[in-house]
Amino acid sequence: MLRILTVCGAGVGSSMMLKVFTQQILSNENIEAVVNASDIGSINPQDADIIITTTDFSNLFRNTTGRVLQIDNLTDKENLRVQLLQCISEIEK
Amino acid sequence: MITDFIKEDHIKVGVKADTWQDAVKQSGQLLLAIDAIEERYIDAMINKVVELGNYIVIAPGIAMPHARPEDGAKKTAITLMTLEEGVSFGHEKNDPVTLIVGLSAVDNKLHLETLASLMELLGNDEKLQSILNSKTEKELYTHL
Repeated sequence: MLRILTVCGAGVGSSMMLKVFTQQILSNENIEAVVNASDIGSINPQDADIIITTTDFSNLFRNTTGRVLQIDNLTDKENLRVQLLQCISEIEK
Repeated sequence: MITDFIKEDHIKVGVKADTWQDAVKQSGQLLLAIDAIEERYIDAMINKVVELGNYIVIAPGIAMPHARPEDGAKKTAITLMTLEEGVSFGHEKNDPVTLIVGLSAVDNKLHLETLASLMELLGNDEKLQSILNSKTEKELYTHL
């Protein structure tokens, strides 16, 4: 099962938004995945196939084996959908 | 419904702020005024940005400062504040910021639906412009 981690600084704001939007997108596309939200201090980047975060953290995950999606605009769900689906199709190859 | 959660006294329009710290602080004071937080939460909102960077700038022109529940959140609340002039958070794409979405959360559930609806609302350019151009709190409230 695909493991997706959404990350922000406090774990109650943007990471939770990203989690909700990601789940909505995946359920519309009938894709099964485990989606967890977390704060930057308590994550293990190795635990995820895809990490979704706001721009500023991306360089903290350089060593992860998962893919990192940078989302600059939380109000633009369509952009998240396009990036996420592209990322998943690349993993499935 | 967004308006179940964001009331007129959760809104302030045309606020003057010189720096991002000042803007975040005033957003915190609005949360304090509605008794959603303890005063120490305001410092935590600022410190999160100092520690972790400007990730709270969540979209072009929009910042969502917040801290953790244990930093002094008393209840879950969302406030909206428009700035008279934009401030810089040092964000390479989303500066200047003119809308501050203040958030206090006592857990990571209660506010989600409202926040998600709010994000969709703010993603609508026309709605966002109406919100930013509102001259009074009452007017902004009618756009929610």
